[in-house]
Amino acid sequence: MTENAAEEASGFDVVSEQPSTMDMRSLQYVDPLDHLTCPICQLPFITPFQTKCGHIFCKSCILETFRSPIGQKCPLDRSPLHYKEETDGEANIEEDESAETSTETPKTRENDIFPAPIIISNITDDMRVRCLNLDRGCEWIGPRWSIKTHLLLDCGFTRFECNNELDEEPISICKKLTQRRYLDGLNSCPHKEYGCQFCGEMITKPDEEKHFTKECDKNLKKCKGCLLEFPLKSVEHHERFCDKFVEKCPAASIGCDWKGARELLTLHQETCIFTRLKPILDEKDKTIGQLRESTSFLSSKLEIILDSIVQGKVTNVGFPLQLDEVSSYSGQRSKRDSEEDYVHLLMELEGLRSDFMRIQPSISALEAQQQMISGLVAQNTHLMEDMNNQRMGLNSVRQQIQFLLMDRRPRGGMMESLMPRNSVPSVAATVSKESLSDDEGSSAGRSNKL
Amino acid sequence: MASLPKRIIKETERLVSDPVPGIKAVPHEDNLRYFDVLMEGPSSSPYESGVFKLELFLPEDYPMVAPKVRFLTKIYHPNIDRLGRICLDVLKSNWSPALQIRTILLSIQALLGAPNPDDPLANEVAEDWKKDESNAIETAREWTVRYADKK
Ligand SMILES: [Zn+2]
Ligand SMILES: [Zn+2]
Ligand SMILES: [Zn+2]
Ligand SMILES: [Zn+2]
Ligand SMILES: [Zn+2]
Ligand SMILES: [Zn+2]
Ligand SMILES: [Zn+2]
Repeated sequence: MTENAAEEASGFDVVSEQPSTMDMRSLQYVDPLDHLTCPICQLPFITPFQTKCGHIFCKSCILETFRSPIGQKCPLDRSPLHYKEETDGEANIEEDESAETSTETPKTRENDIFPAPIIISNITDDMRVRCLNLDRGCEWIGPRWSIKTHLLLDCGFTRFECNNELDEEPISICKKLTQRRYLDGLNSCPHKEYGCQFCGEMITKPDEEKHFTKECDKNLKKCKGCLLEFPLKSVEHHERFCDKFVEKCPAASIGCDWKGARELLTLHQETCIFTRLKPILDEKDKTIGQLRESTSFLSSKLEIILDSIVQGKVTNVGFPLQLDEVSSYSGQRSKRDSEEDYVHLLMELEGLRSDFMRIQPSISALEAQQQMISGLVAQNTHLMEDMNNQRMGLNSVRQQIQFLLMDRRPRGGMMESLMPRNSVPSVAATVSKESLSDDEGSSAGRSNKL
Repeated sequence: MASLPKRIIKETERLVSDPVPGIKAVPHEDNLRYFDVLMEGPSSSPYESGVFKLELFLPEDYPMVAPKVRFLTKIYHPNIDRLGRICLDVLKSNWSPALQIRTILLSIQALLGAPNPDDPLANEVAEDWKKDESNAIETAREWTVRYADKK
């Protein structure tokens, strides 16, 4: 019996005698890998290590570089990096010789690479990956840190050695690599053969699915059209050609909802209006696409022309280069095309004109507003002038009053007490008094007054 | 054949989906470590009018060792010899695993735009170049027309 195809697909196996090593670099990540990737393997960091020059690599990547002809240099800036592997026996002996006395802390030169900040490995360990047994059918997706647990403890598609005894004499152990889903819940070897329930051929549990769908001649399934029974392995092929199989009208995409046996389709298509329309509509779709393309090209060119017209008026220079570009484009096209373009340009101009007409009323409204605003500004200026005149008058009045007050002071404080406190003259008096008492300190003078 | 490292798969995918302008690199179907490369001569260089064929091979130890690259189209250049071998530091002593196929191809294209006769591989060409540069450039232009494909 040939091995099951699904079992041959690559995936994760657990074999005794061999340490179960998992190739972390073969993992498939669910999300795009734009950040936190190692410059060497270009995958998310695995055990990130940082160099003293500040660069980060996977531990295994940087150590592989150190062992390569490149040597102990940073792959990004080539600065020399010192590193001595702890597990290297020879290196340890050398160290012991050089530092015999201090046994507890051998005085070695500190390494120039060391574990990167924990947050980096936390982030990369949280990235979501697919199961290594994806090709065998496992749809699991989970954070990277949990994949090992999944593969070893949960995944039904991980292969283990079958540890069941074989029936043969002398008794021996099966040892065949088998997916967990065939081993679980069984006490006997799943490789024991038994007869197929349909055809009687000898099969084993792991082969059953493949036998039923791909091999068995007696595992029958009804055709959905003619209702005759066919082996499961060939029913799909039959349905593709069965006259009675129910199909949709090919013009379903544009609205026909006819459904029926394939043999009736040609009859339906003779009367189906959608079928007759379909080629025409398809053609139209194509033309519309082309038109859309040339329209966007033309409108961009038109913008250039309008620009150069406007600017040409202002500067009297124009833009010969862009106009050349435009004419070279139309030169490549046939006469009929350029006529179409001309019509299109006219339409575009017409459109712009109508746009302008539409805007015109609001422009005149804006003009009226502008006039009103300038009228208001003029009025405002008048008022300002008036106000200034008033202010000047007020000032002269104030000066006169002050003059009068100063004049009266020598005759006694009478007038001061008679005057209301808040009136302008009283303020003027306060000021003058304060300036007189400046010698004693202005603050003292003010507190006396208040 | 041992399975292809993820990094090579990633680089190949990126070369196809996001190609370097003026450079096309396609892996052989039966050997994904072997690439056919087409490189346009950089503009305002004597190689401007041509498209050059190169081969690129990723050795087993890649990226710990540099890819092997060679011109297949005959080219007149002081740093490229008769066999198409290229004298470029990043392909030899200055290789770093942080470099990629695309960066290497870009460096080679840049070398076409800036020949360096003081660090020659093709001695005669370099001599010509130093003796009479404009004449050498003219020869390079002629060779491009004669041997390289048209753009
Ligand atoms: Zn790495
Ligand atoms: Zn560095
Ligand atoms: Zn799984
Ligand atoms: Zn077994
Ligand atoms: Zn059967
Ligand atoms: Zn049928
Ligand atoms: Zn129809």
